[in-house]
Amino acid sequence: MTAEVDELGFARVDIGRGRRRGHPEAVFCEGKTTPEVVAIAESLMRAGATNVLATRASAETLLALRTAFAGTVVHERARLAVLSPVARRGTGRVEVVCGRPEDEPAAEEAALVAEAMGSRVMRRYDAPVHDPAALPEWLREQDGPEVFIVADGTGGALPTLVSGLVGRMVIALPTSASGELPGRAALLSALNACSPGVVVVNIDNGYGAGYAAHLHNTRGDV
Amino acid sequence: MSRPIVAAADAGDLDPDQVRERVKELLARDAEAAFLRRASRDQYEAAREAAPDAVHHRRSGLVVLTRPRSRPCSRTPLPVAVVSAGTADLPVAEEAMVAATTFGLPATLTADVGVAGLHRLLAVRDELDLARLLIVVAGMDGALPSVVARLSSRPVVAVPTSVGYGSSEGGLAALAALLTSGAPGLAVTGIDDGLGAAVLARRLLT
Repeated sequence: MTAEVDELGFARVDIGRGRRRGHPEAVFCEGKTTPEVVAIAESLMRAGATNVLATRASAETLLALRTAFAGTVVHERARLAVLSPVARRGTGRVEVVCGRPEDEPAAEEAALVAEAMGSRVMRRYDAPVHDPAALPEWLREQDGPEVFIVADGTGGALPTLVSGLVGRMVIALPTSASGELPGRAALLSALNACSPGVVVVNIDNGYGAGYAAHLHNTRGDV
Repeated sequence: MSRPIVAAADAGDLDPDQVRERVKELLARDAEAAFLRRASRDQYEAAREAAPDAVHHRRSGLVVLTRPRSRPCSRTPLPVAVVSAGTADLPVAEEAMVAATTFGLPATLTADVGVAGLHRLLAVRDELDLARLLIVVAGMDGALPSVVARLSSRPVVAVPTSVGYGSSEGGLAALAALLTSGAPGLAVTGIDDGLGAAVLARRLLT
């Protein structure tokens, strides 16, 4: 069997991920030291991976990644870095929706992940959450995307509302950007969406939302 | 102390003797209105022995033990609109509606305008604005009351219901969603507490 794992001692890097799934392993940076993140990224790129994502990275880690790997694109608000980026034409369309500035970091992480994977992404962060009557018209302003990602940290049910107005799948992305029960109420509300066609990722998991949206958008074609 | 507004008890699994005792006790409190909640037909029959005027509302199981008041105070009461998200929420909506009416508040019922089809709600928007207060009943994701609160300038009393799949946790999901909806001017009762919403309406409007 070919070496699918690169033993680093503190990590067993899944360098076969790209071959199996079409996309390389992402580096989840929280809980890892900056040198560990850099070493894991190095291992992935040594194995030939491109568009390697480092998620949930601190400012310090982002800086170190940019210094260590030329061409790295850093997105501070989404706490995300794309290493060894390769521009892609962008296929289909993923529409990322939110209505409050607080929800934008999670929305942006989702958008960047889908984009890095090769989806064409439309960002719409001005959903009329304070005026639901305006939502049908607001949604009509755009050509229909293949799939929506709707980020919402409140129990205000934006994913349900959007889903009720469109014929496409809605990936609900609950965010922790709300005062009480951070993310919990939004997660439960989305899990209990009364509109069919809403699927849910975990609180603040923009990476998971972006990944799933890309798979749906491209039917798994890389 | 002034006369209490309401006396109410849950019928639960009370046997006929216990129902009669409980009804006597409720009536003895001399409240404006007395209710036995979620009563079966047999429990209603037992209740009627202690309260001959009792009326049973089948869908909610609410038994009104006292005669409805035509006018609870000198001012003409203002109307209440009870709005339900899904047909499955109707038992709770009925309880709110019947209780409000018992307090002498004119009440209307608008059923099945859940946000899975937002147009249903937008179509009745003007109608709802005629009411002085809205009682909005919703289970599952508890979305409707917060949407209504943003569409209407009236006070909104949200009643989360226990309708839903597994993780709705008997209404906790809807309750949590309502408590964090961010919609302005929204108050929330306990789960399935249509009567609670009606009592609040009675306190606010008369």
